Amino acid sequence: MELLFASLIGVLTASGVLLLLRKRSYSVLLGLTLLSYAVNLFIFASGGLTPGQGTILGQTQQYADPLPQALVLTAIVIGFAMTAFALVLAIRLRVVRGTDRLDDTELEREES
Amino acid sequence: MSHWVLAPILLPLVGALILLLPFCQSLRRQHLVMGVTLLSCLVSLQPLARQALWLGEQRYLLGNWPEPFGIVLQVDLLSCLFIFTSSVLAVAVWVSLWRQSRVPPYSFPLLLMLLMGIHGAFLTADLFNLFVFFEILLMASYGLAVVTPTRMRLKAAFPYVVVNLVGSAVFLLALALLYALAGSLNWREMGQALAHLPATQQPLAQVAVVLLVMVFALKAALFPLHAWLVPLYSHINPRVAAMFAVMSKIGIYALIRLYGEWGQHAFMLPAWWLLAVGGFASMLIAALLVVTAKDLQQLVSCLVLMSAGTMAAALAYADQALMAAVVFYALQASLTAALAYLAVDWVQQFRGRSADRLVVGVRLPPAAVRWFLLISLALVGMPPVASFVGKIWLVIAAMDVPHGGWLVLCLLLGSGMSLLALARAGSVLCWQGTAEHKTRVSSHGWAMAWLLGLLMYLLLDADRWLLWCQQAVAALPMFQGVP
Repeated sequence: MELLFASLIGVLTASGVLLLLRKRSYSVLLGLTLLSYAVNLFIFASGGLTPGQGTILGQTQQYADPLPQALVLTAIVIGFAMTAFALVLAIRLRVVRGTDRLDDTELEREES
Repeated sequence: MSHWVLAPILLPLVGALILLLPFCQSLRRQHLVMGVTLLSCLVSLQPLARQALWLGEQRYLLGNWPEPFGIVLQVDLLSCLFIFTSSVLAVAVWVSLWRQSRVPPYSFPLLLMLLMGIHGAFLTADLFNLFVFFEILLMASYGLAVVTPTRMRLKAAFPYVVVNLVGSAVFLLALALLYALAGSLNWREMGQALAHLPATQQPLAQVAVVLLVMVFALKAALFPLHAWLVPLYSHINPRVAAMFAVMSKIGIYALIRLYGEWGQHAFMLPAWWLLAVGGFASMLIAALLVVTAKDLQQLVSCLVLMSAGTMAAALAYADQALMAAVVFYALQASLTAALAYLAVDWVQQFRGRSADRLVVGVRLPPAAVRWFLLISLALVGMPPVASFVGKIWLVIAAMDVPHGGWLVLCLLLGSGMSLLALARAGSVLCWQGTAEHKTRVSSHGWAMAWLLGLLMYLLLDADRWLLWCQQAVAALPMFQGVP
């Protein structure tokens, strides 16, 4: 179970970082999303992988750690708000510059 | 513990919410609400500061949950000093917008939310709560950076947003790893738990701490995570940059908190080296960049980078006197940078087409030349402003520390380069070009006078403020011999 989980987090992080280093704004945003998936899974795993254990008193004999679950919820909510803002910024940038490439355009190279 | 602790966090939040109501459409009402909120923030700081001075650290339990389980807010002298800095900066930015007929939409609520995030970050004793407040202030800063969206601003803001989102992801990774090892998110509990880890898990703790230091180094713009600072601060609205001047100090505050709480433990050893390398490299890079600046705003941004590097390099020595000097330096560096940015804004508006570019264009009038001289003295660290005291104390404290000579050398080199750059900028702006007789109505003068007055007061009353800084640092667990 741990091997599967760790491999999943590893693959998601690797894909996220690869996409982050691309030159197109949408690829960067997708990379950020994948990275945030990986991080959220990692936070969830920090409480220990305990299959079959609940977090409400009386439900099961042993309990799973509820704190990482609360942390993950907060992180997910913050993450999607940030991603939404970054997406709107990327769209605005595309409209204003005429391209979604992240390096300098011909015009900007001439200007500087 | 009285509920006054929540005032620096709740007052800006309530102010921002009132500003979003349709009741506050007119600019006059917005200024009124802003003024009431900011002044009440400053006033509410007074009982907190008095309690922190006389009674030491106060801890406030949110929801009355006991210590290992709940979120704790701590009010100590260190928090109060930094909250004071950010509040007076916010007042300066508000004052500079007084006579403006059109203010960009939502800039006041965003400013108050930024202030709320900053105050919360200074007040919290819980690591995840720190993350949440960091996100609040980052979100507000993203909004403020593009509140007047020009092409260069949007282009500079996108890397800033992406880099900080990655930083948040790394912060969460470090947090999760530390929680898995320590079982708590409280600074004190975590320090105790991490110090008593079995030997097989010590390397994991070191890795997690290094990740955390990388995140704070990103906020404080230390090498190699410094590249976002100069482009961003050079292109955003200078008034917004004046408020952002305190944001790099948040990274320094977080580093002081991290090293102050956990510094005496063995698992922190690799982290000290990161701080030293990052700080010194940032200082040297900024010293080289400052002479290549193309406009005044870029010049001031390089100086902000230099001050961030200076503070981090001084922190790396793990010395109590030097850390106290860093706290005072952080205070006056924020005020000085904000003063400089407000002057940049005035120059941009005055010079019209040539803006603040260091080219021969419109010459500054004699009154502005006097201001430019005072601000240059402040940026370099000469009397009659408190930055002189900040630099001198860093030098004095560094002389008593082994290898402190390197810090003094880099400090003097940085000051020399900034002096060179400012002299060149001054000669182009003040002594060359055509004189114009324009009368502009702006309230920059009031805001700059407020900041300059504060800086001069800090110089005159420097003894007392350094005593407070020393008291603030002495209360950190690292220097109290907590095992």
